[in-house]
Order: sequence, then structure tokens, then C-alpha cells
Amino acid sequence: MEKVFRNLLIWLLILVILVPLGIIASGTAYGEWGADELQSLIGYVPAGFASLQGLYHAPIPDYGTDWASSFIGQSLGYYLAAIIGVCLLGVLFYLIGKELTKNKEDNEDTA
Amino acid sequence: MIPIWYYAGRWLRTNLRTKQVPYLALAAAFSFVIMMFNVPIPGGSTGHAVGSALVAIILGPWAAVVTTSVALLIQCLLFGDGGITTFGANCFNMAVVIPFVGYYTYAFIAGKTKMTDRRRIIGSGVGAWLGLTLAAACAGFEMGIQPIINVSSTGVPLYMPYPLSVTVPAMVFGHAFFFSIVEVIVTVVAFTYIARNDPTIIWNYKAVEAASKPRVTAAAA
Repeated sequence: MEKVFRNLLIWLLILVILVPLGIIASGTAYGEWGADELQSLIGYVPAGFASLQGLYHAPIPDYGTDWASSFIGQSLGYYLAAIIGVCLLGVLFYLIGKELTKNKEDNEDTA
Repeated sequence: MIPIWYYAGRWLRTNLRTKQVPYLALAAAFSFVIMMFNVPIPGGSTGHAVGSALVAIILGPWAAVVTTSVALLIQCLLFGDGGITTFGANCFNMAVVIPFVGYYTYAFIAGKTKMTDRRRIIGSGVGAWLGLTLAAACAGFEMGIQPIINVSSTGVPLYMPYPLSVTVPAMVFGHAFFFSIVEVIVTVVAFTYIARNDPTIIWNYKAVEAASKPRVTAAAA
């Protein structure tokens, strides 16, 4: 494995290890409010917004943090979400990249 | 967004090099993880960096369109984040505005310097800051026009209730002073490391190398 790739991979793994830092902040991102938050912010749930609720249910809502109430429990869920996301995207793009470059031999010249 | 994705896919097919494949996979995974780092800001809100300026500088802005869009797709389909109905707008802001503003700002500041030149490092930082901050302004604009374009017959907003004068400053403030700073740090550190240790990963390293060579004058030749 190339040294630069290995080191970047290590940095990525460190980010994954640190990922529970991302749930310490409890507020919702601006504009990403749910129905209950809109209710308390403006006193009603906008009708168009309400009609879109339940359009889709994600298999792992909130990155796996709502199954437990303790920080450790939520961190485990968040870890799971990070690992699933990283592995899925890593494998997917590795396969896509392999497919796109399979007929290229030494294509350094296209740079 | 569909024609943009189509072109980005074509671009990747033409320009992706065998050596870059593991880095493409790494870039997509990185985009996903960096967006999980929610940063709190005064006022109780949170936000995050996106990482697509870095991917745009290393693998090309069109490659960043693809990796960031798919990372956003996984977020919304699997984890219910970002949302299905806002997927197009999210992709425009984070997978188009950031990569292109980020890359071209970087390229403008870098000029014809060598890959390891300080101007490129500064360019990567300014590009990352401007890319994410402008993307936030776009998101604020998209939210702020909702009460103008989507109201019920009695004038009650159907979706987003706040006007432009609230949404744009709210989005720009949080990003300009907090999340864009995270974007700058991540971009500068990783870009500097790659440019110094293996610039051949960078999509346009040959063009950069050729442009940065000192001109051979007629007299010298």
C-alpha cells in the first residue's frame, strides 16, 4: 500500500474514532427542523411541510443515536452509522473507480 | 441536477486514473464522516463542514460532484438526514457550489505556481472558506424564498416560514465564523500533505507542473 494512501487512511480512521464528538452538540442545524421543533419555534406546523411527513422512513434514523439515551449508547449507534457509511461509500467508489478505469493501462497522460 | 450528474459521470470516466481509484473511495468515505462532526455555535444551532473543496482540489471539481452527491444520498436514504425532498437543493449547494467555488478560487490564487508553493496552500484555504460560506448563502436563499413562493391561499407559509432577511444572515454567520473554519483546516492540512508527499495523485498535476516551469527564452535556448 502506498505510504500517502496509508497515512490518509489512518487519518480517516482517527476521524471515525473521534466521531462521537459530533453528537455533543445537541442543537438542530439551521433549517433542518422537524415538525415538533417548528411547532415550538413558530407555533404551528406549516401545512405543506406536514403533508410531506412520513413520505419516507429511513432504516437508521438520526444515525443510530435515538435508540439509547446515554452518551455511550448514542456513541455506539453513531459509530455503527459511521462504519456503515464509510464502508458502503468506500467499497462503492472503489468498485466504480475500478470499473471506470478497467480498460485504461497506463493513463497518466490524461492528466 | 440531473444533467450535472450526467456530465460529472462522463468526466470521471474520461479523466479518472487507475492510481486515483483508492483515493476516490477514500474521498467519498471522508465526505460522509466529516459531515457527521456537528459543531455547536452560539445560539444553540449546529452545523458541519463538508470536505468537498478538498476533494475538488485533489480529484477535480467534477469528481467532487459525484462523491459528495452519493455521500448525501446515503445520508438521506439510510439515516434520514438532509431529506428526500431537499436532496436536489442539498446537492446543488454542497456538491456543486463548494467544489467549483472552492477549486476556482484556489486555482485563481495559485496561478502558475508550483504544486508545493505557499500560494497554493493559501488558495486551498481561501477556496474552502469561500466555497462553504457561499454554499451556506445559497441554502439561506433557498430557504428564504419559500415564504414568497410557497404560501397557502390565506398567506400562511407551506414549508419554510422565515424570510430571506432571517435565513441568509443565519446561514452565513454560522458558516463564515465556525463551520467554514473547520473546512479550511481540513482542506489546508490534507492538501499540503498530499502536495508535498505525492502530487501525482492530484488530477491536474501535469498541467500544474507544465505551467510552473520557468519559461525558456530565445536567448537562453
